[in-house]
Parts: sequence; C-alpha cells; structure tokens
Amino acid sequence: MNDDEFVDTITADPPSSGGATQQSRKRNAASAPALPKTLQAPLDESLETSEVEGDAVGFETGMEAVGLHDEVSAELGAEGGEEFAEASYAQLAMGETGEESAVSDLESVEGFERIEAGEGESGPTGSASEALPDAGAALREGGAETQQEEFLPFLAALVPTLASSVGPVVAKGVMSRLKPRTRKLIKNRLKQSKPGAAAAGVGSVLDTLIKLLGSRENEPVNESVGEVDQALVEQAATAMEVIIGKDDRVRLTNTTAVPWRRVCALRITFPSGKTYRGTGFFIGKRVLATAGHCVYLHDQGGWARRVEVIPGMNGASKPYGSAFAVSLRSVGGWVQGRKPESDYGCIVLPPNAFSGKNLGWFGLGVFSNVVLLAKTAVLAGYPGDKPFAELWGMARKIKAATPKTLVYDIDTMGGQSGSGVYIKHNGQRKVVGIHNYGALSGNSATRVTKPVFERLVAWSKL
Amino acid sequence: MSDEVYGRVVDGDTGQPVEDASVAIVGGPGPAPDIAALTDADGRFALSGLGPGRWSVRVHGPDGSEGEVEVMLPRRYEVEIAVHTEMSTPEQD
Repeated sequence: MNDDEFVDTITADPPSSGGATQQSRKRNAASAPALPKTLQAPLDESLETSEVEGDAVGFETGMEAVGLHDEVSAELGAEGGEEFAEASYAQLAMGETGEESAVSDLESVEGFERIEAGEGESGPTGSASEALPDAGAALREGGAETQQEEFLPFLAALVPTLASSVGPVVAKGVMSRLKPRTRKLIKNRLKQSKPGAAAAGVGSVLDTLIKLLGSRENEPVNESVGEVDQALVEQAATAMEVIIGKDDRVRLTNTTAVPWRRVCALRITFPSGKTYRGTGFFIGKRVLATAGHCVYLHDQGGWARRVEVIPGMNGASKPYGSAFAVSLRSVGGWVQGRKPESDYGCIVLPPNAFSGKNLGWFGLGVFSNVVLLAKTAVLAGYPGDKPFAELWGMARKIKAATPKTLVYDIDTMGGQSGSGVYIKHNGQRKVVGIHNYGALSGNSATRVTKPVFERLVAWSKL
Repeated sequence: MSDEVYGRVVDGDTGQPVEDASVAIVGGPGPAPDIAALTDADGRFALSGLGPGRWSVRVHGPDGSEGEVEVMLPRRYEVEIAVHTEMSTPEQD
C-alpha cells in the first residue's frame, strides 16, 4: 500500500493520563475521486494558512480566524512525478525582488550580514555563500587583523609539512578538529577550484593549504611514519578556524517579539531515561509542530515521557515561563515506517499554558518548486553548540527540493530539530519545512506538502 | 537499520562526569537527526538513528568546555568523551 495514500495520526497521551495510544487512518484526499471541474482550483494555486500575530505587548486578546485556501487539484502534488530539483546558479545568484524576503527578519539583528545579489551564492557544486575569503581579504577585515596576521606565517610554514610523508596524518588531524561549517567551506572550495588557477599574493597560501588538506586527508597513512606533534595539529586547526570559519548565524535576543516568541526550546525525556534538546514552533494557540524524533524515538522507548516547552527562551530567561505537553502526535510514516521525510510531529499544551497568553503562530504553505527554489528561507532554533537555551537564526536560499524534502545550506546543529523553515509570501511568514536532519551535503527539512499541510492544520485546531 | 552512539562525558582534568552537556553529531557518512542529547548525572548520553560509518561527535559542556571524538559504527561499547575548557590570560606589555 502506498503510504502517500494515507495520512496516519498516531497519538500518545503522557503516562499521567493513562498513556493510551490510539491510531487512526484517514484516506488522503489526493486519492479521493476527482472533484467536479467547478470545484477544482486552478492548477497553480498553492495551499496556505495565515500567519497569526498573537497578543500585543499589553497581552490584549483578539485572535484572527484561520482558514484554508482552496485546495489544489489531485494532479498537483509534490509527490506526483517530480524528482530532485535543484536551484540553478543563476537562481541562487539572483536577488529577491517584488516582495519582502524572510531575510528582513534578521537584518536588524546585530552581527547579521546580508549577502547581496550576485555574490556569495553559487551553483549546485557548492554554495559560495560559504565563499572563502582570500587570506588578503581576511587580513584587511577589522578587528581580527592582528590575530590573522599572526597565524598566516605559521600556516605558510605548514605547507611543506602537509606535502611531506606525514601530510596525511596531519591533514586528517586538522580536518577532524575543524567545526562542521569550516570543513564544509573547505570541501566546497575544493569543488569550485579550477586546475591551474591560482590566487594572487597571500591568497595563494590559503588556496595551497586547502588543496593539500583536501587531497592528503583521503590518502592512506604510511605506517612507518612516526608520531605527529599534536600541538602542531591543534594550532593549525585553530588558525584555519580564525581565518576561514566565520559563523553566519546570529543570536536572536529579542525573543518576546514576533516571530521569535513563537519558537520554543524543548527539553525532552524518553522512557529510556535519556534527555534531549530540540526546537518547536507554534502552529496554533496551544499546538507546536516539531520533528517526529522530538516526540517519538524508536531506540529510546518510543513516545517521549515528558516534553517541557519554553517559548522565546533567551539564555536563562523564560519570558513566558514553561509548560509541559499533555499530548503528542506524529504520523505512521515516522512511527511505523521510520521515514525521514515523515519525520514530523506535534506537541499539544494545556489550555492554561502561559497564563492564557496568545503568542501567535506561523502560517503554513504548500508551494511549487518554481516558488521555493532559490527563495530565501529563515531557520531559527536552539543549537546544541550554544548554551541551553540561546536562540540562533540564519537565512539562506533553498537550494534543492525533492517531492518530500527541502535542502539548504543554513548552518544547523543538534538541538535545532523541529525548527520551522519559513519564507515570506505576500508579506506573511509561511513555514514550508520542518527541519530535522543535518548533513555535510546540505541540511534538510520535511517539506510541507499537501498531506503534511492537512495534517498540520488538523493538529493546529486541537 | 539504526545504530547508536552511546557513552559518557567527563571532565578532562578531573575525570568527573559532566551533567547537562549537549552532545550532537557534527559529521558523518550521511544525514543525522539534528537532535542533541543532554547528559545525565553520570554524564551518560545516547544518539540513535545513525547508519554504519565514521561519525564525529561534539560535546559542549554547560560551562563552555568542549570535546570531540570520532566513532566508528556499529560499536558495541560506550565511548568516553573528555571536555576541556580553554583558558588564557591576556598578554601584558
């Protein structure tokens, strides 16, 4: 049976309410008999729900009604025959015009740098939004000049070491110590480098180092080589991080403002006794969407035993307090099928959570590849390389799409599972994916497709 | 089939377990769930949903300490990760 025909809802109530697990199975509207033409929406129409602001600063109530747009026809569906689609170099390089971009949410944040059209984005072989500065440019930047000048002679002296018989050992050691983003930058730079082309001046040192690191890391280690000075390896890795590894994430501290107050830190405990940290975001007044593995982990006893939800958490501050889930939901594709593309779920909170304040919620949207590819998306969540719990965000264009997933070069870390990936469409924030996996080739989200959309909308009304 | 990295985080100087450290996968042969484990009072954690191969595991302690190891899966015994805090004093002219 085709899993796409059915959208399963599997629910679990926490042990305090008896721990009952129920399963219902509902036939997907996509497989229903075709609607009469008069009831069919135009093929190009998308599915969306409205973004809801929530209470104003004075916590005045006044919710807007939420409604669905018309359904798309059965023939239109991300699952229907589309394969892997990738944004072209031209698309990635183009600036966004005509409507406000989601990146505007980050532009006022300290430390944020916008990548202008034509620079910083490259084609499918790698993202030059991850572009490496040449060493000369790095030296011209203010603030870190002295430190970078100090490291460069050391790195230049490292070149003959990497070229020698101990090169593979040193290269493996240095690469293993680099942060994931720095490693990715180096690998992307290697893919983009053209044979014979050499940077001028000090940039040539960095280029040479990158080529040697990349090539020697994959060579077998010569058993006759003696031990390598680990201090040298550590210093080399530190130097590379200083010169290359710029972190494009920005910390979001105004977490009581829209939209950040809708993003929640999660502290999750499973029956195994193990505890995890994740992220969720409001899709209804008392309902969050998150990754399926934030509510159900197959190897840790299944359904989470306890989920603490902290909206807008900012360091140690919990501006709205915290609440514990009363119900968890997911879908059969995750709970039974363990499919990454079905790795999403929801958390239901008690009606009196957060003293009844309405924090608002994100809109949801199903869009075609034409709309999504090379569209700037924002992902904000609680990464595990920062203290619990700091909210960090980043914006990048969606670089690829499959029928059920979206792929992007937004930097993420463990702890950000469950973050919403949102764009701006007609001025409203629409979540188009639920982030759940990290990979060197590109981080990914469950794409909000028609069945996912319908499931999320149903949950949002709980 | 899913495999698991499980182990213990300890202070690199004292050998004592570190509670509430964040442990996450930062590299490997394929995608990994972007959830982070929090160590318990014994410093123990588990990260599942991984396939065979060499995975990089990074730890961030609540006091800013860090540590990282590479783990080959499948693995049948726990890994111990020591975290260290970088310390330095400013240069004085």
